[in-house]
Amino acid sequence: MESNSMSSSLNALPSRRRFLGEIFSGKENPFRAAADDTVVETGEMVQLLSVDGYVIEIDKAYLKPVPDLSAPLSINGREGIEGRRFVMVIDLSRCKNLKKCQSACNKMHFVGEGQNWIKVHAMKEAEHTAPYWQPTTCMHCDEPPCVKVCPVDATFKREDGIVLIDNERCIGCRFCMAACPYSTRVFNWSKPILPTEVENSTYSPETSCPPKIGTVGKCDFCPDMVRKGELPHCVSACPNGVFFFGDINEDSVTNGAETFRFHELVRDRAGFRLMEDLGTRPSVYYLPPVNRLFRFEEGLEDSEGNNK
Amino acid sequence: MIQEKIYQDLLPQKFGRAGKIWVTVLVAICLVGAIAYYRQLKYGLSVTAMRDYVSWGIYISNFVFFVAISLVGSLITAVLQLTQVRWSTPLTRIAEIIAVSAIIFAALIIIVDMGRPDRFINVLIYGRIQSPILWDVIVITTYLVLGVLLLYIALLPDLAIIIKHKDKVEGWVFSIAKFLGSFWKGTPEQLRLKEKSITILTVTIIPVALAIHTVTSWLFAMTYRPGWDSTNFGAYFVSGAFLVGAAGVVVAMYIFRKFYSLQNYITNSHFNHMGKLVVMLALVYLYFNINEYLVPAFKMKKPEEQHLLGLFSGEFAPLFWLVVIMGMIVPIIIMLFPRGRKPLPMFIAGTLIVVGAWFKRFLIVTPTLLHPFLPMSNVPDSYLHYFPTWEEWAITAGSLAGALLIMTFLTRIFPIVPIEETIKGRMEEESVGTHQDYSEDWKTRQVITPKTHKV
Amino acid sequence: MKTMLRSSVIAYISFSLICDPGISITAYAQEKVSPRLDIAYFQRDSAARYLSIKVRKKIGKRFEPVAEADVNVFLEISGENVPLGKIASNAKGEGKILLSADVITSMNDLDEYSFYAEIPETDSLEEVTEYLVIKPSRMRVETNDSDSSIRVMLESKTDGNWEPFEGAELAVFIQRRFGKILIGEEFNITDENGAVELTFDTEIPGDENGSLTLESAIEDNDELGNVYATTNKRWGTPMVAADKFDRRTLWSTRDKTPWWLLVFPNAMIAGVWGVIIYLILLIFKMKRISREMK
Repeated sequence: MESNSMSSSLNALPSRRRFLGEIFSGKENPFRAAADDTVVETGEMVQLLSVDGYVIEIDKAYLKPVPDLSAPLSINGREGIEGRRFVMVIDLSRCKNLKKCQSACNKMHFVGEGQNWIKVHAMKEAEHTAPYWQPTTCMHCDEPPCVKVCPVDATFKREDGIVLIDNERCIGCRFCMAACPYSTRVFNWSKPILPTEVENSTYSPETSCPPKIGTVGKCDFCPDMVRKGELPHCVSACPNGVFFFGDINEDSVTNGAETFRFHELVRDRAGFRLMEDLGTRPSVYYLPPVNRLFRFEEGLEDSEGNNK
Repeated sequence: MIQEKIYQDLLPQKFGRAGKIWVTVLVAICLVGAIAYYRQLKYGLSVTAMRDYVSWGIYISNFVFFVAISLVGSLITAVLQLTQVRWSTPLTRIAEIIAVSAIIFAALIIIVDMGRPDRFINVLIYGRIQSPILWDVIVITTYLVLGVLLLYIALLPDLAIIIKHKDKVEGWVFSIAKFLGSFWKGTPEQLRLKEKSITILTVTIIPVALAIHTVTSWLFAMTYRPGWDSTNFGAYFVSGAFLVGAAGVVVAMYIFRKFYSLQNYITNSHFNHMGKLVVMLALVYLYFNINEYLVPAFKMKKPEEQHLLGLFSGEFAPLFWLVVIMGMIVPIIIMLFPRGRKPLPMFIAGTLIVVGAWFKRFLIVTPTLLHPFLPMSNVPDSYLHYFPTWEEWAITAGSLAGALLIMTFLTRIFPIVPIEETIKGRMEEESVGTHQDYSEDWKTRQVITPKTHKV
Repeated sequence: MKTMLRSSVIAYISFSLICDPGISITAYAQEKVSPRLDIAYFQRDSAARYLSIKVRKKIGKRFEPVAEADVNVFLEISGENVPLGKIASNAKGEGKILLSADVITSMNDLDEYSFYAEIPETDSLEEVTEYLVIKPSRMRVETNDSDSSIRVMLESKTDGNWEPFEGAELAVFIQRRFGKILIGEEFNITDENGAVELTFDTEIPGDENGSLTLESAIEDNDELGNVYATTNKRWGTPMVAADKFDRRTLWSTRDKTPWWLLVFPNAMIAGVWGVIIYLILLIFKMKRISREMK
């Protein structure tokens, strides 16, 4: 609508709507009509400020109001998404060991052979306690032991709570892997086998792609999806709605279908964190496996075929 | 003259046949190691058997071993010299050379273990002082510099002797000595400065030596893992380091004595003294081991239980008990008796300790990684065990051979037993007439030295 | 030379036809599928409008997505089928057609939106067409600060006039980053004035100023499609950032090292290296003595 608000809106927060079409940093010209778009030019010209800072004129017919807009990825990945503090709540009463979360995550992040950023453990604490399936992501601890020990600042805690890895700085000493008590980190022991376009893409810690040999990888809470306003891949992939993802500042978490107030969910369903007494202050909460949707044994059938 | 005999015995000599074979074998091992490392650079760390759970393998245990052995420099040279222990004087050069060679290879083997050695510079430009690895890099560098300085400054009088005896050494040995030490004239002023430097060095190197192995132990102790999460680790590692260093000196003593006919200088009494020192260190180390294993075993907390049972009766039990018995108990028994403190039994005990120490470091590093807090799920079966590949063995052997090569080279160009100190020591004895260092041993001494004529 | 080239080309083609029969055989044996085409209309705050397209095919008893199906979409304006765009369905069989600004302007004159989508015939798909007729609607969310009440007004265009729309099911939410929290009942029906009234009575964080986005949502309405209206109100508590992680800690970046870690280790290192430098200077002094002797 308002082309004269272009210059201010370019500096706007990601959640505001803009009328420029989709903008990804560094990618193709957003104003070029898609190949098969039959757009009838009206002759009415509109002045816009391009991403490089030039004033350009295009026909109004090319403008498409976009309901949601992706924000450009942070180039070095170290600035967090402002004002956010991401948390995850995993509902153990719903997990059936389908490992759809694992396959979606592995696929979208080109995770290598034998590696899994999400592991689904069969847990049974003691002889008489019940067995259950526990999907384990990176805990994105508020006092991360992995970050404490990194000698080159290749892994870091951002203000939005996400712990990321900069694979262009990592020297592969694997101290972080030794330090993590949740054993959540994996290592690229050999050259990752990737499709060409992924291999040639620009690296960003927010996508963790392309993975590089001799460096460490782990669950990254999908900051690229989150910037777009979409949920991480594991959350959307789980058919049972096991993963809830959200913002503690906003006090809400969602699994795509259901949204809850975070503090109410954790309080009413007696949420807990793994290895709380180690003092790592994880950002991932678990809801105990009570009133389960599935028996533990139903997950064993899947594990026969799925267990690598 | 007696002095001439000392020069003849102690100046650097050419290799005999054994020496040449020794060097050839070492070079061959290094070459195989280099080929293996080339493969590792080309294909990445997947050529090793390390995987996501056992992310640290024999490279790291080898690194810890090297750091441990390098502490000997501070023990023999610094501690014993500062406390005016005279019998250890002939051994100081060997100790320093072992220390310097070992610490050089500690640094090199760490680079070998890195996934991206091409990014080593990141440690310098992006280093985080909060990381124990940074502390380790700093102290190791510091210790290397101090060790080289200590070796060099103590060497100066001997370099002058080599230069004076140009006719008795090869040309290239002479050139090196000339390049390094031609400014040493032995003037009172220079002597004063040298003594001052040595005193400063020996005082400074002790805390730094304690620091290197304490900081190395913190690479493990600063994590949460069972078997590593111990407040005992600093002292435990340092005591183990002194032990393996001293045992290493014993082994080196025996070899040099045999192949360079140094019986007059490295006498049975030296073995006797070293034996007493080593047995004391071994008992201290045994004490720390008991603390390290008995205390958590009494409690058997869940994560520790897996780990300890794995060591005592599980997958690692054969190796664990072999190391404890053959690497600690048997040498202690050997060395408790005077007959066990003779050269050959000491050599055997020393070798057992050193080899046992290498495997002990492996038992410290790898089993813990195989007993993580959460179950090892969703990984290929090969991730659940660790046995090094030929590349890892080759590189490890190559690094050990490389350290031995440096030692061999340094003892080829520098006198193994400090000449100046030996002459000074003999003159002191003759003028003062003290035999207190040797009095108790005159019964056991079998070697004829000039002094026995006086007794 | 030319005959050699020609014969080798012929040989190559026959070779590939024989040795890769998959291509030729499946081309003849392929069955054409009649896909199911679904279009849905989405309208957000009367400005952003789009059509969501889903292409699926029935296999046995289940529906599977059809990827890379070309779908052309048109809108009837003054008797003409104005093309809105063309999409190729993605791996999930979905696509979105965004309506451009001037199409939206022309839609304002219409009494009803007649959308028409077609999949032209291809080798694997039969031709399919689908229609969707939507009644123009507009919705707004009104609020009253004094009693924290929310009033949603819904109107639709009937015979060219905007009139209240009764009987539509809607729900009111607080928008969150990834989802929405429900206020009041899940199903509210608009009354004869096209209105729904609720009270806002939860305490919930907004942004730094306490602003919240309230959204009223009509989903899958047979006549209206999917209609959303939002408004921003400062009814939330100001958001307090839980922790910005910029204190000096052991896990911060190198420029935020704890003081004690900056002071003590560096002092020790400086001390030892000071000694080292002094020793090196002593060596040089010894060298100088030797030079002076000559």
